Amino acid sequence: MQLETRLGRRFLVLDPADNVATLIDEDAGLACLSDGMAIADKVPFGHKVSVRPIAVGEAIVKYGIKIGVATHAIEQGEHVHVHNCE
Amino acid sequence: MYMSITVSSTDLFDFANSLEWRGYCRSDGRVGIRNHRIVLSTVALTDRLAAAIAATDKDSLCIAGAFSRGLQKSDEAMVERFIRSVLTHPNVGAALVLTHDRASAERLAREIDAAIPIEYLAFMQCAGRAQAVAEGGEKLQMLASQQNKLEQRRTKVGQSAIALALECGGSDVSSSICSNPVIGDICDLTISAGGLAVVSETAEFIGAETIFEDRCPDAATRRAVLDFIGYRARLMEQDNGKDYRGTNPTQENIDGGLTTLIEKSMGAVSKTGTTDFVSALEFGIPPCAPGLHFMDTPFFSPVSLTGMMMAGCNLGLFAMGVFNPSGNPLCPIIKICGNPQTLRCWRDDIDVELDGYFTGEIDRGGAQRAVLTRMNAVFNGAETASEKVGEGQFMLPRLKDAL
Repeated sequence: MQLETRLGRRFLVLDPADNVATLIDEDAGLACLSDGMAIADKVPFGHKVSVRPIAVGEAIVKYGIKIGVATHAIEQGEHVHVHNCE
Repeated sequence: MYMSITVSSTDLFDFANSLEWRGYCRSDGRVGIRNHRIVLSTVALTDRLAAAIAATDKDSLCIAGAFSRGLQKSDEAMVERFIRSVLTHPNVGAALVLTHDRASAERLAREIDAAIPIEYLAFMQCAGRAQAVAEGGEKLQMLASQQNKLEQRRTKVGQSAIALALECGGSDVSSSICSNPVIGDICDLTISAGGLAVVSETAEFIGAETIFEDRCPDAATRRAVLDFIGYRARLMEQDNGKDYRGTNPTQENIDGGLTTLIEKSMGAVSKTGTTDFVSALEFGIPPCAPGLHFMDTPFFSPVSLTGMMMAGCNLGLFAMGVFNPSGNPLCPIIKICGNPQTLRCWRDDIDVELDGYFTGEIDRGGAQRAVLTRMNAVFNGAETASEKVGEGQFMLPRLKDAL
């Protein structure tokens, strides 16, 4: 029997050009992705975190397209949502 | 990582062909997946009576939309279009039509040319409420025996009989990356088999206009779609300029993780698959050809579902993110949900559970099969979750002030 040890959160990057990952599990207590990258904790299911630093005014990219612009400087692993993207 | 998902459309096509599709062939060439005996209330004054009459016949379906009188011409025409669409809908096998006055009943009887048994009852002409309910009940029994004589029954049909209403509600990340893309795959499959699909909720396309450059070979259709979208965008700006984000994406979308309108639009657009748009339709107008059609409707799902039902759609695929109870009693709506949190509480309201897609238990091909399997069962008569509880509304868009 094989036991899986979950050390990080399950996520989805829809396109190689994306600078955000979408979290698709509910382990909001974990503070890293399943590939080891440190992220903010308490980010809810379905929300996005940045996978690299994003400067003010830089595009937020998901589906390989620009879905918005950073209104604040965003650190790698930070929650990306209405408070820093529009 | 779940980002590299292989979609084997050949497998899906073979699987769809291995299923048997059985429906009611109507005289106008359309196919019904239900054979409802309806009680249609044509004005709010007869809505309560319609419910009371329908209650006397467990096999009947009450259709009431709180329609007003004293409407300006465009709204009056919309109600007329609704009545006509319902009486010629492929999922209807017989109808009792309720009006308030005799003149309306006589006019409809003269003007409506439907190939199914229809009876009319004018409320004012009845001798009291009890007599009205009794007479309506008798007429329903007459219709039932006429349906028996006509031997309305299912026969084997092709997948070209599928006329899909594409919808999403309570949109969240699960609908945008799971349910809607899978619905898009089924839409592509349906259209490749010669069927049709209608997508609506114009405002959801704001921000995704560029897709029509690529998927709208007919310039007039492209222009019409972009005009519809532009009009809705202007309306939203005029009405809600400062609080634009609060309108669409809605607060529930934002809570689910969608940040911007474009992000929401991309999630919604994915349910249209990849085929070209054939036409741009006004609210409730039936398409003239197979293929994918755009319909201009408001974004409230009971209204947009009503519009697509009026277009003759016989089945709907609905991507649910957070819970949304919308359905349409006349056009069975298959609710598809991938959000594990929603599924925890709302399994009774959901037809296809795609949470395994998030845990890695099923891939995109498995999700497609799950949807197609359920769609085939519903087509052939299995009740949807919303049919079981009688969920769904009939609502027309508001055009002008009543007189």
